Amino acid sequence: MATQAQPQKIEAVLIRQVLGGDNSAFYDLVRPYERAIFTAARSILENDADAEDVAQEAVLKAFVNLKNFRGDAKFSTWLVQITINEARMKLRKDRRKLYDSIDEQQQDEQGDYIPRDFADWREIPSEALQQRELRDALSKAIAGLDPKYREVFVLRDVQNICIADTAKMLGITEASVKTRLLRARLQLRDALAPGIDGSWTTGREEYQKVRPW
Amino acid sequence: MIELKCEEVWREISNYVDGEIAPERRRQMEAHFKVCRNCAAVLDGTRNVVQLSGDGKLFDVPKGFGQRLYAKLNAHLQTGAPAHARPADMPLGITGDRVPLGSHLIYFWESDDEFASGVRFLELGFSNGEHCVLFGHDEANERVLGLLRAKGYNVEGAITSGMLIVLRRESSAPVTLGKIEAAFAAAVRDGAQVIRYLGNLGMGTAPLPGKGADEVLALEAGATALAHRYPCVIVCMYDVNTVPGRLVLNGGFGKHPLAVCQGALRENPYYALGREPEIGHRSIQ
Repeated sequence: MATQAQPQKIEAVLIRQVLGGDNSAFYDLVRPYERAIFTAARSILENDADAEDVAQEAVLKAFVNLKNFRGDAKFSTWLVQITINEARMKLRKDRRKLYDSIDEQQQDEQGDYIPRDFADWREIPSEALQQRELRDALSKAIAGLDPKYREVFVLRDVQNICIADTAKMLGITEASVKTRLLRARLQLRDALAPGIDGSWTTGREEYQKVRPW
Repeated sequence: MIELKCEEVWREISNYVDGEIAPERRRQMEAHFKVCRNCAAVLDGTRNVVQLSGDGKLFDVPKGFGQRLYAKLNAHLQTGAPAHARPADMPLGITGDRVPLGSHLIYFWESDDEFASGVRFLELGFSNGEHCVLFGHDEANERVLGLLRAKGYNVEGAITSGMLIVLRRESSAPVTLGKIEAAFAAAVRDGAQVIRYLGNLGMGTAPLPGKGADEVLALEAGATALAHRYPCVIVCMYDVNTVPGRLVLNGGFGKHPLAVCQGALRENPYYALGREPEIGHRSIQ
């Protein structure tokens, strides 16, 4: 079981055990990253069932290809990378269109994003951030992001993965991570901005009035 | 004075939140936030989004996900698909041959060059990231370690990490065998797929253990059995200048299924003649 102590060393041992024929060590290797696998798949796919299907496929692929894993990347990065590739493949197959098309690449990061309004959040007490409705609104807003912004945002801000690893997992440059992250964050901020005259603390009714999404 | 336009601030606001920004630009933005209420609001809103998203409560993993996650892997393993196979042999290094795991091998050496060739066996272990065990009296061990250091290998680091275990000769064969087996077991626990064992006999001021030749013969017989139980290759180096003829014959030739003589690897026809009916090295599946 990987712990905080020296996860990479312990992982190296588990990997050697799996490659030596001990399949059970593979479950210990993956267990700390179950949530990361699901979240990565879910950031690309629209529903839980598809995300689960892809997660299972990714775990199998990781096992079969473990001998190709190089120690120069983190195991978790490699595992999430496989998951993202699987999720993108499923999306392509299901939608019969290129998800990451050349058009999208070219349009990416063109022009400035302009915030829609300037609601001041500083007045909001921290307990308001615990409110369920705010959390639900955020989940909904994330789901509404363009996929290429959503996957960057989920890895970076939901999973707290560093910029360099996020870039590796998605196969894009660090500069692209930063630009897409900016777009995602500002769009989400817009979606959640309560309005100058509104507040999250005044209860559901008023909140609905201010932002009836 | 406002040095930056609002548009410029928005372009960098995400990097500002992440601290991914040059000090001079950071200073300019801080100055801007002090005087621009709108941008300050955008900054706080962006920070709130980041804080809210990163607290681990946003995405619920479906119930039972942890069990279902391994369904395809389990199905794959149950169909009898080949697991990752343990290696069956390893390159010897002393000659160009590969030897099956489970081999117990004698290497007779005479000159300094021949000694260095024997140490090549361990060098391959170092360069392949394999677990190594070195056994002998202190002078012999130091000579081996010195050669490895001279080739640029981090001997001390390997000892600290458990990739190299150095064993000193003990007075009795059972104690020594116990230590060797403990070292092998530790390597396997550490995930070793293969183990390289190099032992030295002869040379120096005390070429043989305290009780002499009989102790060595008991040790060598035990080593052959040990080699069959672990994914290892055991190489014994005998200094033909100092090891008595009786040991060369009954130990070197009598107890080792494989032998390297004069630069060539051979099946040893003199191995345990008439004493151990189950003779012959075997490879591990």
